[in-house]
Formats: sequence, C-alpha cells, structure tokens
Amino acid sequence: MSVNRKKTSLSGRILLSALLITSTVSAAFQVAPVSAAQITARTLTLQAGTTDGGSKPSGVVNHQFNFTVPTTGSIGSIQFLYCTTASNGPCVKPTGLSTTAATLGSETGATGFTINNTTDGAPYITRTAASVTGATALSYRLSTVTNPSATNTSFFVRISTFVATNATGAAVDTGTVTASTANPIILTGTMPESIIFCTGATITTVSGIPDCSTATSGAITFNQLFSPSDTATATSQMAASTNATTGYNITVSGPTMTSGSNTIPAMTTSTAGARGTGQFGLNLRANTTATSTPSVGTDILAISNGTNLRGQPATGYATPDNFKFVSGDTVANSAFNTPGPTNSQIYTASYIVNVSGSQTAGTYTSTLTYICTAAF
Amino acid sequence: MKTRHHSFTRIASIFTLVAVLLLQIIPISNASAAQITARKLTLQAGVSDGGSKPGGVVNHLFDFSVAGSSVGSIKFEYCTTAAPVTNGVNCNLPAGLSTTGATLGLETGATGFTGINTTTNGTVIISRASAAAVAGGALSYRLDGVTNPSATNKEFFVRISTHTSINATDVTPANTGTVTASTATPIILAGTMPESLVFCTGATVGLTSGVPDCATATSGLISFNQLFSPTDTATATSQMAASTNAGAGYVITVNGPTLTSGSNTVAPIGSTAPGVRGVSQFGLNLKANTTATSTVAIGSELATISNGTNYRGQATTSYATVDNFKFLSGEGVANSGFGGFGGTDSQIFTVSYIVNVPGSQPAGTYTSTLTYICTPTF
Repeated sequence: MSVNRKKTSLSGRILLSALLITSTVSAAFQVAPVSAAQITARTLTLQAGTTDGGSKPSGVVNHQFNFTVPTTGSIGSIQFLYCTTASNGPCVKPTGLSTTAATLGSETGATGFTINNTTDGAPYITRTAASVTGATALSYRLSTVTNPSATNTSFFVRISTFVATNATGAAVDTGTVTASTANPIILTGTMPESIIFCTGATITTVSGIPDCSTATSGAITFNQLFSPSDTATATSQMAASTNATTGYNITVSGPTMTSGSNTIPAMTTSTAGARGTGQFGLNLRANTTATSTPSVGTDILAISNGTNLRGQPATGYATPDNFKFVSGDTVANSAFNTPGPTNSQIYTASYIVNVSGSQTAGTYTSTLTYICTAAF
Repeated sequence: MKTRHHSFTRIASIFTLVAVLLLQIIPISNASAAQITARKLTLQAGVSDGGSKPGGVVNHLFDFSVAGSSVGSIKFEYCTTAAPVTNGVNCNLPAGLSTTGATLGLETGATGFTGINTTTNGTVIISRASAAAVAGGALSYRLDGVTNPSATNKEFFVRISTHTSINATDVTPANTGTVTASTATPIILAGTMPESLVFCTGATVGLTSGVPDCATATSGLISFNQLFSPTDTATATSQMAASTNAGAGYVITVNGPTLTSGSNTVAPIGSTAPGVRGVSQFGLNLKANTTATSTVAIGSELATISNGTNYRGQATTSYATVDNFKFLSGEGVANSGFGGFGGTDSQIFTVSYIVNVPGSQPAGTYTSTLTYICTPTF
C-alpha cells in the first residue's frame, strides 16, 4: 500500500514536471499564427477549347490562371480548388464541373510542374519543391476542363501554394478568383434566293455599290430630232445581281419605234449604224464617235472578274458600234467565265435611230421591257 | 402619601390625554426628502465605446425634475441596488464601474456647476459656488468618461440627490430619486464580401427594382430581324450584364466565328467601319445606332450610364462608335475602365449586330455561336 502510494506520488510529480516544462517551452517559443499570404493580381480567364467557347456551360474549355505570389520560398505544388463560393468554408464543387481530364497546357513564372487531376474539382500541379521569389507573376493553363453546367452562373477557384508536393500542409499563399459561365449567343439569319434587278434612265452607286433605290424614271427622249444625216442616240441603265447558282439572263421585249402606223425598222442582225437608213437598235457597250457625236454608251460597271462579278452583254449586243434589236432576245447574262451568281453591276443600254429621208414625220415611241430571269 | 400618589397619577393621565388629543390635532412635520420625478439615465456612446458596453468608457446623461428648492450640489451615487440593502450596507459599488475620470459634459435647467468631486469612486458630486434656488422643472447633466460596470447584461442604479450645501453633506437631501440602466452585450455582426463577378448574356437581360437581374436573362438564340438582302441591312441585338468588385475591374471579350452556312460565310468587318449595303459584312458594336445603319435604328447605349465611381462599364474603342461596326474574335468589346479601371455595379450592354450581303451571297441559313467571356482581375 505504501509502495503504491509512493508510485502514485512519483507519477504525479513526473506528470506535473512535464506539464511545467511544456508550458515553459510554449511560453518561450510562441507559436506563430498560421496565416497564408494573399495572392495578388489574380485572374481566371476562360478560353475556348477545341470546339467550345470559353464561357459555355458544360463546355470543354481551357482555364488560364494568372497571379502573383507574394512570398519568397519553396513551392512544391499549387492547388486549384473549384467551389461554388469564394469563402474559406467548406467547398462545394460546382455542378457539372469536371477536372479529371484536365491537362497542364502552359506554365510560366515557376515551371517544371505536372498535373494531378485525381480528385475532381481539386486538381493540383506538382514538382520537386523549388524556391520562387516573392512578387513573381505566374501563369498556368488547365486545358480540357469541363465548365459548370449552370448558365450565367459564377464559380470560384481557390488557389493555394504549398511547400509540399501534394498540396497538403499549411498553404503558403492563397487567393480566390472567379469566372462566370454565359449563355452562348447563337445568331441565326437567312440568306434567301435573291435577285436584285432594276432599270431606269440612270442608276447610281452608293459606297461603290449599284443602288436600285436611285433608279430614275424610264421615260427617255433621244438626244436630238431624228435626221437622215445624223444618228440620234439615247441610253438607259439596268443593274442586276443574283445568288442563283446558274446566274441570270436579261431579255428585252417590245416593239420597234412606232408613230401611228409608221415604224423605224429594227436592226435584226448586229450591224453598225448607217445614217440615212431606217435603223433602230441597241447594244450594251461603250461606243465611239463612229456611231455618233458625241459617243454614246458605257461598258459594264464593275468589270467582271469571273468570281463575284459575272455580268456580260450577250452576243449580238456586245460589240461596240454594232447594234441590234429583236424582241425577246437575251441582251445580257451572268455567264462571264461561267454562268453563276454575281454581285450587282450596271449595264448601260445605248439606243440608236437612223432614218431615211422619207421617214414620216411624227413622234415615235417604243416601250421596252427588260426581264431578268435567275435559275436557282 | 397615598393621596399624593393619586394626584400624581391623575395629573399624568390628564397630561397623556391632552397630549394624545394635541397629536391628533397638530400633525408632526415630515423631515424626509422630496421625490425627484421624470428621471432617467441614458447611456451614451463615448469616444470609442457604445453606451451600454460592459467596461466601456462612455457618457451618462441624467434627466430629471425637482420641486422648487435651493440647490448647492447634486450627488450621483452608483450602486448595485436601488435602495440600501437589508444587511445595513448602504451602497455596493458595481464591479468594474469607475467614475474617478468623470467630467461634467453638459448641464441644463440649473447651471453653474463648476465643481465636480470624483474622489470617491462611484460617487460624483457636482457643485456650485453657492446654493441657488431652482424654480423647479427639468434638469439634465451629463457625466462623461464614466467606465461602465463590467458585468454583461446587468443593471445598475444611480441614486440622485440634491442638496442645499455645496458638498452634498446635508443629512437630509432636498430631493432624491433613483435611476437605473443596464449594460448589454455588444452585438458584433460580421460578414464577408468575397471576390465577386456577376455576368450573364442573353437575348435580353431585365431589371429588378432598377438593377440588372441575371435571373431574367433570356435564351441566347437570336434571329436577325429580316432575311439578308443586298439592298437592306439585317440587324439583331443581344444583351449582357456585368458587375465585379475586382480591384482592376473586368474585360469582356467576344469569341466565335463569323456567320457561316456550310462553306459560305459573311465576311467579318475587320476594322471599324460603317455598314454598306450590298457588301459582305458582319459586325457588331455596343452603341445606340441611327437610321444611317438600318431602316429601324438599332441598339441602345449602356444602361446605367457610367460615372467613373460605382459605374465604370464602357465599350472598347473599336466597338464604341455609333453606326460603326467590327468583329474580331477574341477581341475585348467592353471593360470597366471608365474613369479608371475598378469595381463596378451592374450595367447592361446592348450588342447590335449587322449583316450586309452582296447580290451573290449564296442562299442559306447562316449562324454564328458567339461566346462572351468576362474576366475580372483581383
């Protein structure tokens, strides 16, 4: 009994001594508070993946992290913890987010890392611990991360640096970044089958493009009275474009110049004008003074190139100073090089009238109808 | 001898009877003090402590009314009870209370109390040079620099008495009254504002109580207002809202292809330029455009307008000119740099899209999936 009491007394003294030493040591060596420093200049940029836009919900994209660590010291690992909240409380992984297929796409500032993506939502990059000088800008791109599935929703990534190579122990530096998924904007519009065609005395361009809204009246008067000794001329214009795969044809229809029962003979074959001869004809070229003074007509504008500009006068109406008029004839088409769609070009139709000395006096008119037909 | 004794007894009885009768007729005057009325003690915040903070150095404001009398001094005696306790102890000082540093902060009603005696902790006596009549009415005195009792959520009492003497030594005060107050646990509210980005896109983003509400964002499926045509400009709009508390603000980029139909495309506007009908063009801006662009004017300015303080959103240079458009994938279209980069409240950007086509634009349905990315820098 006495021995037991002595043993108990001895144990008590040892325990008391241990407590005393512990408290003395604790007092002597104050434990520094474990508080990580704040990572600065930190951003998370969502970048497009192979097929998905960077902020697409559930998109497989790249996450680019840029930040500056303030602490000089060893870094063995950096963890990227994906959470629904920014705070240091419990981390709830955003729904739909997946990092298990993530790869380390790029690294700058502190390099030599490989990625550990075993834990979904908490990948970390690791290397043999090596020192990094404070205030160093670092950047890492995690590729093929699957974004959270919620639309227009923010998510947070808590970045922590560790001395340990497996993202354990006390974090050295920490910082939170945030990004948001966003509705992809899907624009849809329809280009319909199109033909833009207009005629008038004149058609002008707006910003270099023929503009049918500028087409003037189709009532056109010849430049002078008809005369056996001179050629009367007139012009009209037309503009045409189409996206028809085989292009367009433009025909002219109508009677020759007529005054009551009197007419001016139409030029049924493409020939040059001859003063003193009854002739009514047209072409789509820039003619010379061989035809009239002043010269009449202009070549097609813009000049065809066989790709997006394909307009051309048709045979019979394509030779300068040669004219023809057969109602129903094709006068132009979009077959330069090969039939196809074409942007708008302006044709100038030149009309000539020559009369014989016996041409009956009167006012002669002809109402011509141009028809543009596109085959899609 | 017996006769004398009877005479004495009779005289004593008569005297007693007369005395009893006189006592009934002539009341004895009352020597107790009058009651102070309308009395209260208001605990007021000190330099750094809330008024009821336990152990806080605060101000004690006394308001009360007295009947007309001559007042030379007023005593404030701090106790744990309102009246003397039963064991004969007059007043127990509340633990932690200290009045030795008290000063007279203000006086109204009866003034001229230039003296203050704080020698005895828990007892403060303010005094005049000489007693002066108080007409009666409301008085108030504030003792500053009083250290509250240290117990939490614990009432304490102050016995107020007015005296004719200038040092509160009168045996019978002119007026007395007790007030009470209580310390209270300070309510310490704490909350954290985390790194924040709220960003959304859609055909439209609505407001709730005047504030952009991403919950109202509609689908991002948007059709142009009309068929594409060489003679007119097709238009469409989308909206996006953004706010952040990032110190360096945010940048919004647009990413994606131009309008495409199979192998056919509408050419993106590579540098900022007006729309031209009949020319292949796909572009956007973040402005309120005019009828110079389209028959029906399209777009809206940023709402709310930036002010450089809590609203900093702005379109970037290439997308900030009315009736001028551009589309370059990956380019920043907006940021919170108005008046300097910084955090900003939510604002709604309206993105206007235009399409012009040449006459040869192949027929088809053209689409483009655009991804807007908002990146804050903290």
